[in-house]
Amino acid sequence: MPSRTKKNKTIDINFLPRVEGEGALHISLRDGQVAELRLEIFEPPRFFEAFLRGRDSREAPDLTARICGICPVAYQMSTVHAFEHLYGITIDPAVRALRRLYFCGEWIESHALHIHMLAAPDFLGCESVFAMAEQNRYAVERGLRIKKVGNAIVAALGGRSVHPVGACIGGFTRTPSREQMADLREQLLRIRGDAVECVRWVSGFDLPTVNRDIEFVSLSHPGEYPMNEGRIVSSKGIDSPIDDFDQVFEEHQVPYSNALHSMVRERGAYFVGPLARINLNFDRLGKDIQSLARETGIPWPNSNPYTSIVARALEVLYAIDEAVRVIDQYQPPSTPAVRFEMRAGVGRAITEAPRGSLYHFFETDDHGLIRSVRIVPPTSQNQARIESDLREMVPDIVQHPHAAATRMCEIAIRNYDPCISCSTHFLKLEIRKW
Amino acid sequence: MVIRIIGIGSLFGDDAAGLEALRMLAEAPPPNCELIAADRPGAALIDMLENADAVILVDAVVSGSPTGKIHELTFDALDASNLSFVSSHDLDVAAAVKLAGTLGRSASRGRVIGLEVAPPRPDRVFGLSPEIRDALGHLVERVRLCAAELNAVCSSARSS
Repeated sequence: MPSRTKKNKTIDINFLPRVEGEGALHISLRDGQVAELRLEIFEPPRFFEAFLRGRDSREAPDLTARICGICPVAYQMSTVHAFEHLYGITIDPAVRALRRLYFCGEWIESHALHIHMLAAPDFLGCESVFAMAEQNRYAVERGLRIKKVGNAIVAALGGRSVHPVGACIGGFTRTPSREQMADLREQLLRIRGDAVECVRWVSGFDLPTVNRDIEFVSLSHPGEYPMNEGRIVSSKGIDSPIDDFDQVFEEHQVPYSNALHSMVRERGAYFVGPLARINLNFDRLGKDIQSLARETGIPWPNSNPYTSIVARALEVLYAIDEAVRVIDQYQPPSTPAVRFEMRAGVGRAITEAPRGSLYHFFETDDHGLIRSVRIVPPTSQNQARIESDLREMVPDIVQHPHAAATRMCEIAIRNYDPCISCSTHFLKLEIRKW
Repeated sequence: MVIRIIGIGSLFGDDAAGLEALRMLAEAPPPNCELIAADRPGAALIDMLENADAVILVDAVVSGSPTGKIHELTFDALDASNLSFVSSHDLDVAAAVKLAGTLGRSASRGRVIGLEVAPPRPDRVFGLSPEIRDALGHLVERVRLCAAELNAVCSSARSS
């Protein structure tokens, strides 16, 4: 018979609302201690790593872009960079700059969506963005304005904003005209004030105050805020080339989740995403953005995961400024993509998806056909960290009524902007308690 | 007077039904109608719902009804329906319509005409299934009827 004592209790969140994909949370307490805590990702496996085998490498970027509808650029570009590494391709500096612009577009649209539609309602006590829109129409409209410009950048470079097809190994299939770039510049300048306002808005939220012992991980580049190149660094001393990914991290399966857990070898869970990037690369943000970040009163680096929403807003502003910089310096490359010879080998790459570092590994045969693939998405890297957060929250959670406890768990999970699959669900929440 | 007909979908399988219906309508557009093909518009749909006297959305839907069934409902009824739009990330059609309504940006008259499709099949990536191809004529006819009805309603509202 179900126990209703405070010491023995089960919280089941059978579906996680406002999270990409299908997942659930199970927490079980015995004698006041956490007996079991499982973030269950039951979204069925999609076998990308299996069906890519035997494909021509040139097909891969368009296929991996299909993994995610919110961050297709990062999936496409991790693949492109891995193959360029494998084939020893050096790209035109103008193409490299365009790729930063491509990432800026994705960060702007993805972050604007998460801040305004998914996370802000949590911190303002609204049930959803619809409820928030009734109270604060202006903020929702601002989010939509910012997001639209991000989408326009992705569409200009990728051919369309959903599942773009513009990037290829060696460059782009076509490059934007000067007129397109001038139009994007105008749009970007129009939303810059919105982005500054957004930073001030989210930093005024009453965020839960916690201070956790977290290992933050991201790329780091000596000359720029990291998007698609650099070394792997962490707040606990990792400083390794991307090729050493498997020496630094290990993945293992847990019986309750279809996503692998990723850990720093011999250490444990780690955190990827905008907060990790800001914490580890604060000095690569522009001076104006650093000043604004300090103005918020939030100390940086910061080990409160809930400040992720502020980090996201700062990255929107960074992406706008960086996009304008790239456009201002734009010289169309002599050719959109360089030619290359395919051969047998292995290639690895990490790019920074909006929600964190994304690792791809490819091995090819003599004809450039894919022999093996590994894809380690940011959500799977954050999974163990999310569980650790929830575990640390349990003593506080159990003091609250069940509905409030459930909401606290949901907010903690959503804070990581997890992207469990390529579908959005607005699902019912079912809670069992005994 | 503007009645905007928005065909929604993607290039893949039966999800292209809304786009294909729009292409057929474009051969002889109904009076006072503006046609837009929207490839997985997400939040951009909100902008498309503005500045029109009425809007008709044409899309593939999944509700468990027989394949080829045509659903028609007003925007107001969308929330309570069990229609699931074949959509990618971002806001799906129902969410975009609801948010546009909350923001006061949606046309005052809105209809959704959905064509029931079967769940996607891995062996049919491109091209419509024969069942959906056969149903397209009926779908287009239904959209034309709806456009005529909205034309009459909007004209009458303007003259009164």
